[in-house]
Amino acid sequence: MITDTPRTQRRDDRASSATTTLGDVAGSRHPRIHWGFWAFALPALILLILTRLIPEAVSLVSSLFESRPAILGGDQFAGIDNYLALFSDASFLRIFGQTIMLVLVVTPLMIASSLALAYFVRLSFPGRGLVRTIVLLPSFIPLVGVCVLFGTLFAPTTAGGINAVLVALGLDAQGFLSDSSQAMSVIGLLLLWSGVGYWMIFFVSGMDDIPVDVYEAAALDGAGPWRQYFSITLPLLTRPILFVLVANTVWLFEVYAPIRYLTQGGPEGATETLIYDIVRTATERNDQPWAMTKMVVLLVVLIAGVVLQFRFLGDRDRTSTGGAK
Amino acid sequence: MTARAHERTRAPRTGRVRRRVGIALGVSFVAIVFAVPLWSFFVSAFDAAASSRLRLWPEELSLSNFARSFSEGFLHNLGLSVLVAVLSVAIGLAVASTAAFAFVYYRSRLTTALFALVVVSFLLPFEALSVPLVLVFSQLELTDTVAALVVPGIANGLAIFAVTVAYRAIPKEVVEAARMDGASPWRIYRSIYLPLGAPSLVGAGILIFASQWNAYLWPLMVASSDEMKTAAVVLAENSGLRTTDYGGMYAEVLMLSLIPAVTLFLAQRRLGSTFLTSGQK
Repeated sequence: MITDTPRTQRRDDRASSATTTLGDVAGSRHPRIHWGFWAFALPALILLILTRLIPEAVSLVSSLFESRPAILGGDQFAGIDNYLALFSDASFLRIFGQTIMLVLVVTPLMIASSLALAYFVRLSFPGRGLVRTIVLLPSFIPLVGVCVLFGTLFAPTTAGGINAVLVALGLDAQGFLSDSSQAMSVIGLLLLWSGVGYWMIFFVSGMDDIPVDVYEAAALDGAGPWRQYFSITLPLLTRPILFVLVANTVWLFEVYAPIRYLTQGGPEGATETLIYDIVRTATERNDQPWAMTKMVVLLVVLIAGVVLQFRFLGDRDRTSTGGAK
Repeated sequence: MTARAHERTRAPRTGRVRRRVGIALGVSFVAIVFAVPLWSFFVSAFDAAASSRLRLWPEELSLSNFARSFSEGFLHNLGLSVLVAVLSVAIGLAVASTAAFAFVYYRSRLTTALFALVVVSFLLPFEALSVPLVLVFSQLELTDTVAALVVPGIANGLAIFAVTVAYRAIPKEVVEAARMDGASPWRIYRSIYLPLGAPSLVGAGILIFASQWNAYLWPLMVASSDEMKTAAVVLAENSGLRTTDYGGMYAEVLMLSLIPAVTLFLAQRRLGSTFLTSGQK
């Protein structure tokens, strides 16, 4: 979806050089924007500046001032001191590592399982409509709702849904959310459970777009289902995969509700993530410059991650779908 | 269709058996991981004796969980969430479709550069930006108002982006012909772009609705009075891990999930299934 821009733009450029550009701008040579543009676009531009760019600027500026609770007035200009302090701060580095770990583990599992589910619900078998609906249902539950449900499901006592089953099977009850070695895995499972059906939709429609005759030709050439899947389906799905990858990465980096609701970062800080730490620093500790410094780091990491994904998949995308469409 | 294609070429019997086993495994996976917990949550909402255990049938079938939740004023919060979502979708679509029209109709190097602002805005993580955004809103003395809940949801860069991409696909000949006949830009927007781009508006609308319905951190930080708490915030508040009112929790989650599900179901019946993924196209 995001990769759509360059291609559409290129097509449009060709069209506009052949005929003329729409709008009254076409006639004038001056690089001025027609007033009509502002009449239509101003509400959106003002809103985007107010709600996205100003806070971004506020945080950038604020991160350059001395870290100190706002009540004491952190007005001392500090330059990049906060950033230097951040990278020698052991607890920040631990939280940073935990967040990256969560994203690195959950992302491939998310992509692989939603791809597998998309493949599965497109097979023809009795009841596949029902199966499709059931897989989709969790994405209708707001994330806070999923947290409530997982809270009871993974409750540490034997009353918890999963523990009751484990005990009935003769196994030991687990600590889950109260066990520092398991809590983050439960958060990861929660994210997978709630996200997989949603991302599956994108892969289902991507697979629907692949012409049947490609498979028929491959089958005539003797390619089995696995071969077909890896040589046809996956390469032709690069665009939806890139979209899901980017959107899912952004989502995982900024997911907040499960940690706030289920663990408050605990036990022993095992489930603290960057976004949770930022909000806590800004609200509970009321230390804006310090929180904003961390937020700028989060933004940089996120944007770097997105750019990397475009680098890896964007090029392949151009060659593969270029041939198909 | 893939299945049919490879069935023809494989040795018929082993292929079919293997396929059946695969499907059976897949169905049982979906049943255990999704169907059983979902069903258990569903019946527990109607169970006066609901607990954290998974159950397949309610012990005491009743609507008391819903009644208790209503008496605590959950309907008010649910109503506020609906109001916020509906206002955001209505205003958000007006803003997105006019902006998309401006970017397509008045296309030039400069307006394309401004379009980059839209793209950047949806790459910035809103959750992280909401911390400094609260400062902006308290400077404007807008905290704890419906406007505070609605405004960040209106400015949805992804929605503007999706509608712009759809508007670009509208044939220029149609627009050019209308211009020759002396149609004003407003007329062209209303009579050509708005109707022809309608499917993309449905997709953008769903995007805005979903982001507002799922919002948690922003309403939590910007609204402090009880009247201004959205349903998601109240749900999280009501059901800290320590409370024992499982039935009320399940009932509230069910209500919170039913509204988008029913809305989407109705929209889907009217408009076909493709819009669900319109964010992608």
